[in-house]
Amino acid sequence: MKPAPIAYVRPDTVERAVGLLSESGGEAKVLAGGQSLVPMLNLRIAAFERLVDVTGLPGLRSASDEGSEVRLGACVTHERIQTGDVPDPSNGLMPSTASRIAYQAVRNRGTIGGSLALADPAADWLATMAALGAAIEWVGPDGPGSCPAEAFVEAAYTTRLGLYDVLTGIRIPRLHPDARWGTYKLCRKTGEFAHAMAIAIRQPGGCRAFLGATEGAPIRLPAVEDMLAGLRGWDASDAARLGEAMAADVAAAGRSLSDVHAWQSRTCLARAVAMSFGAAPPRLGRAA
Amino acid sequence: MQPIELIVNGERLSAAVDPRTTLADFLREAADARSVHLGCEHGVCGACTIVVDGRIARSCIALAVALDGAEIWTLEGLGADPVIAQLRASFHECHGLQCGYCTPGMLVTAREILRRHPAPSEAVVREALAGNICRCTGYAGIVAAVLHAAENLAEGEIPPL
Amino acid sequence: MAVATAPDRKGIGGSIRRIEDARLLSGRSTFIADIGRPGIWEVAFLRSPVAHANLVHLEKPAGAEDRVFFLADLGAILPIRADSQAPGFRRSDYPAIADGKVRFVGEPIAICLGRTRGEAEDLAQAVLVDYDELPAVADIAQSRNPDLPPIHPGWSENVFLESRVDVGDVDAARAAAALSLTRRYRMNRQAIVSLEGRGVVTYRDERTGELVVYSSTQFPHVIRTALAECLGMKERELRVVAPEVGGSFGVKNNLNPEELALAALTRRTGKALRWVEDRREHLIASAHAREHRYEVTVHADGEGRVLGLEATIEVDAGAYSVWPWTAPMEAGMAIGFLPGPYAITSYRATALTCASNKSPLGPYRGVGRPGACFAIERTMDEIAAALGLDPVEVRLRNYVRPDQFPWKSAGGKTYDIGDYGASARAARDMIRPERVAALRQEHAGSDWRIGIGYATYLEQTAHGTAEWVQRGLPVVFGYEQAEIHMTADGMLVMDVPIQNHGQGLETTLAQVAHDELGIDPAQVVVRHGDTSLAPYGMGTFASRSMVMSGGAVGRACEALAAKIRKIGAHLLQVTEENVRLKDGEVVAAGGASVPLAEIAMAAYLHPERLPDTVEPGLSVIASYRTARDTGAWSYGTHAVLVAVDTGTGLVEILDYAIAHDCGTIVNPMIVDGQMMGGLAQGIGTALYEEMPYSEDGQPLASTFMDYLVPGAPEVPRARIEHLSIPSPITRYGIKGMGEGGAIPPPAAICNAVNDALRPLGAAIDETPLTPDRIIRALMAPQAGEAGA
Ligand SMILES: Cc1cc2nc3c(=O)[nH]c(=O)nc-3n(C[C@H](O)[C@H](O)[C@H](O)COP(=O)(O)OP(=O)(O)OC[C@H]3O[C@@H](n4cnc5c(N)ncnc54)[C@H](O)[C@@H]3O)c2cc1C
Ligand code: FES
Ligand code: FES
Repeated sequence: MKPAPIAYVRPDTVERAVGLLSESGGEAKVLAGGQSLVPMLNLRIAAFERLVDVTGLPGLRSASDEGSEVRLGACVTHERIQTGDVPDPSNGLMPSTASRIAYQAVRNRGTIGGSLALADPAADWLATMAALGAAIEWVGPDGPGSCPAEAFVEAAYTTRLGLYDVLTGIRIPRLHPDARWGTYKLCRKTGEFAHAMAIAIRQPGGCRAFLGATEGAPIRLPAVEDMLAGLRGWDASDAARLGEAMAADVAAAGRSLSDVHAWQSRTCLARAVAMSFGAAPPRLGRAA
Repeated sequence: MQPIELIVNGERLSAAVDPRTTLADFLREAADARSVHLGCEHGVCGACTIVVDGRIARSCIALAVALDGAEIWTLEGLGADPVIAQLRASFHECHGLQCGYCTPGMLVTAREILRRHPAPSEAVVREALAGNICRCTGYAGIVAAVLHAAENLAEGEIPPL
Repeated sequence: MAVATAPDRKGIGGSIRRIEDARLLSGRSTFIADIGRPGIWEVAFLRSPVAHANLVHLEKPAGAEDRVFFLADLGAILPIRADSQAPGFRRSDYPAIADGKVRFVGEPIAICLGRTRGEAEDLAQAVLVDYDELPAVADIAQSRNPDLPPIHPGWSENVFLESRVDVGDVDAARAAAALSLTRRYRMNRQAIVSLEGRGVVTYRDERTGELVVYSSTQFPHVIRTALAECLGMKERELRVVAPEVGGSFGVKNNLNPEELALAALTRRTGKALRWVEDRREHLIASAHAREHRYEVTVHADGEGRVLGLEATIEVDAGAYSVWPWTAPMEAGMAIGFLPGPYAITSYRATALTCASNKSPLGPYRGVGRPGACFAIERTMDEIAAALGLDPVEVRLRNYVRPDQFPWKSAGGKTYDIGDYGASARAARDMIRPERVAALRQEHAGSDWRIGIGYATYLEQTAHGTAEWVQRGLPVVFGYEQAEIHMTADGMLVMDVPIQNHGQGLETTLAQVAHDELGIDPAQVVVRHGDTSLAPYGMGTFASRSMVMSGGAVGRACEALAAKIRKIGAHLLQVTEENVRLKDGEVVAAGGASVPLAEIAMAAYLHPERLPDTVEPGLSVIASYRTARDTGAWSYGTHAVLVAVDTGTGLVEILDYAIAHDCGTIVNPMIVDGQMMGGLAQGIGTALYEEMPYSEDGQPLASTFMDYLVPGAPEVPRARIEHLSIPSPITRYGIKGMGEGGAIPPPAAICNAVNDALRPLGAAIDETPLTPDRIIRALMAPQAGEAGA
């Protein structure tokens, strides 16, 4: 299980990186933390002629607090988000999300940009960035581009990034100080990719609710958002209404979930909403 | 072949590598670091865990060529580290190993757990070990060993490597 | 009830820390991938991407003709032939690499050599193969489909063997029954997963004239015999060595085609070769396990006493019969063990061993018994539920009673001794079922449902000659040997043909030596896993090594002790009756003593100091068989408290208790470690691990991303209680116990989940109990049976 022959370059400007990518006519691939790409190379699922390592590009590892928003370079690692080494615009949602991605040794190298660019539907950042209303920025042969995270993913493993584009950073608007969030990720074992996932953010001026771990892009839930705006607290008896709103949203988005997946997503959503009202995440302790 | 220069276990190592070489294979071949075990080669099992620039990492899913200039520690180089010494004693005392294949990765990960959580609870230890598969022990001895080491380590901060 | 063990005991019963730990903790010990030779070639196998096909054309990449090898390039070599003696068995010849046809995804087609593994893989990718695909048999239900092609030449149906048992009077039982229940159960296919994969290194030793085969194996001597036969070589021309082995659990307990292929190629070319299995190869092409289906009908009286049992058992054994176990082993074990610990006297069953285009089924911790235990223990709970009885009470009414041993079971086994009821009561006391009501109340209205489950298991260990003969295997593993020497400076070296891959046998055999010779375990060196070191023996599997090798070492030490006492008495100038061995010395009644080192010096370097009747030297070779050869039977009861999250389908284990009896315990710490390790694997079977195949025979879990192995958060620490009733048939009363931990967890956990879901009208009888299966069961109450 070893990679096929491949060349490696580590350019020091974004322009050079884009140039190297376009020169290779689609046979080159961006390498960031390698935590998804190298396994694929090892398994020979993917084969390329050349890797263009973007971790040395200026600005890609930095982060800046710009008041109403925070900009993270694409190569900021999950670990730096987890530990607060970069500014957090999300009242703790991002550090909490980061801490549940994979394992420490993976978080130490994996990057937020790599995760977004890969667009594995089960990954954590896609839905989180969409829920936070972030914008994704890139540079390509035609210069810089950007789009809302919500519109970034076209299908599983397919994004708005062109073959020769380098994702450079993410702009994340600061949540209202009174914003409350909740998330719930269903995985069969600790550190695994999600099988179902929901995020709910309640804040003055607009609630946000998303399902992740679907078969494609994260699904935005407008009817659920409306319902959230009207809720004063969470009561288990609200779950049925929430489930109906979710089902309507999924259908309205032209998407479908299997019966089992819908059941689990409903649970995740209810728990995320409950958490946004201060409920502790439902986890039983081991009995003594 | 591309030239790289690394510091492995405190010694400078210059080599020409085929870019496709994983860090794990490089360390095993060029630095004789046989403690780097391969259990999956896709980042899940933790057997190949080592330290890169002060942070633990999976050497099977890092390319050696991309780590030019990095400082690397494997279990081979940690003989003098008091935390590793205590962990070894604790693994022995608490029956934290059977076949020993997961053990180097467990020790390196456990050191990092103790660094981040000086007095961890059992639940914290279990969560933090989630990325290291042991097929033999059922983890009871390993978890006990990490807790035992935490209790028996001298006070004071554990430095990163 | 816990074993009394003095913590400072060094001999049998003491939890001394392991001798093997230091080298493993250093990270410097030598596993198969660490073995090199000058000029060694790395091997990659080209493996079949399709399940069933004729190979119409094979072509080596241009310029690489001397680095790519097909079967025809390997010289005279016989296929692996694992014939069962059972009448009606259909033979399958398993070639070292494909013989013109491939029968499962992952089957080796070509051997490719490179200076690095990556280069070897490049070549494997470049080999041209033209596959003429055939329809695949990918499900048990298809094995008798006449429209599908036979997997092996001359077969009339894709079935290795059908066997039957019919004892007692099942019809009378049916007529007399107050309750007859039929249930279906499924234990799906799994990979085995040692953390270190398999691996082989071969080279020629010109000095000894041996073809040296390093293999990550559990039984080097037996591998040598098999290789000699397939290669047409003399055993003396082969040396087989198992280096440090990074876990095994059965998967390294077969003659594997890769061992044969590398040995043949080195013989042919003289090249030193190394193949290290990677995880994908392991998951798709190493032997698999389980894949049992049951239809069980039980007849019981109104008090829940079983009057009769009927069953149809189907096992998918994959494409080939694995040597030396043979394909029908799994189903044979299942049919033999289905009656379990219960005094069932009327039993009628059919066991079908199906063939398919999947990786062959081999032994995995528990062999056959996890499935059988799952079926019978689920059934006991169903009886209890149907009659409104307590599940432990129903079991207590049915166990073989302590006064009934030796018990000849309806499955044809002879149970040696035990108190099954005591294990059930102890497990129940530990798990405290009385707290369930309060827990349920606490979580009323939430998504969490609380349940409790039990399962009792039997673990036949140290199977003797009669047992293996009954099973009709090509090799009868009825004994074990040991060769021991005291060195001239008084240390003890023991050369044993078993193989230690985590069990701590270097420590526990030293503990046996301590009891026989009074020698400090730290002065004992156990060498194993090398045909050129130890006399012939069978290796480590089937929970046999502590009993069998312990017995052999014990007998050898006993003989050595007699000689040492003779010499010691002579040196102390007292009579032999007046000395004993203690703390590394021969001690006379009066207190005078002579250290072992001095005795060894006399025995080797100063024969003039020996009595006339004593030969120089301190070496003994001994062999051992158990007094009765039907096995020593460990058993126990597992009890588990779970919470089922009806919102997600996740199962959380809240508490786990084990009460078991493995006879005399040599090292309680190691026994607990084996129990915990087995439990983790049993939890894997119950909740996480599955190797599904698509309809066209593609394995669907080829990485650890898809094949989930439980981690530290998923495995609770169990509370373990030891009941220690010594076996009447083994030296020291030891019973083996390496597998027991893995046998009942699927049954106990599934019983607990069903207990939790029963009020909702949902039921589930298929492992692993994945979230999706549990949600489906919840969606279809009444219909949530196997296969729903
Ligand atoms: C065991 C394990 C468990 C995991 N569990 C989770 C989990 O639970 N949740 C989760 O979200 N993730 C999980 N991951 C994935 C992890 O988060 C990765 O870090 C992440 O998906 C990829 O980031 P990377 O920096 O490693 O990217 P790489 O692996 O280097 O690249 C990934 C892909 O993105 C492209 N790419 C990377 N950076 C850029 C860029 N700047 N511009 C354009 N293209 C780019 C690459 O070409 C490649 O196609 C897991 C990984 C492992 C090994
Ligand atoms: S070998 Fe690197 S994580 Fe498994
Ligand atoms: S001790 Fe064998 S894998 Fe952990």
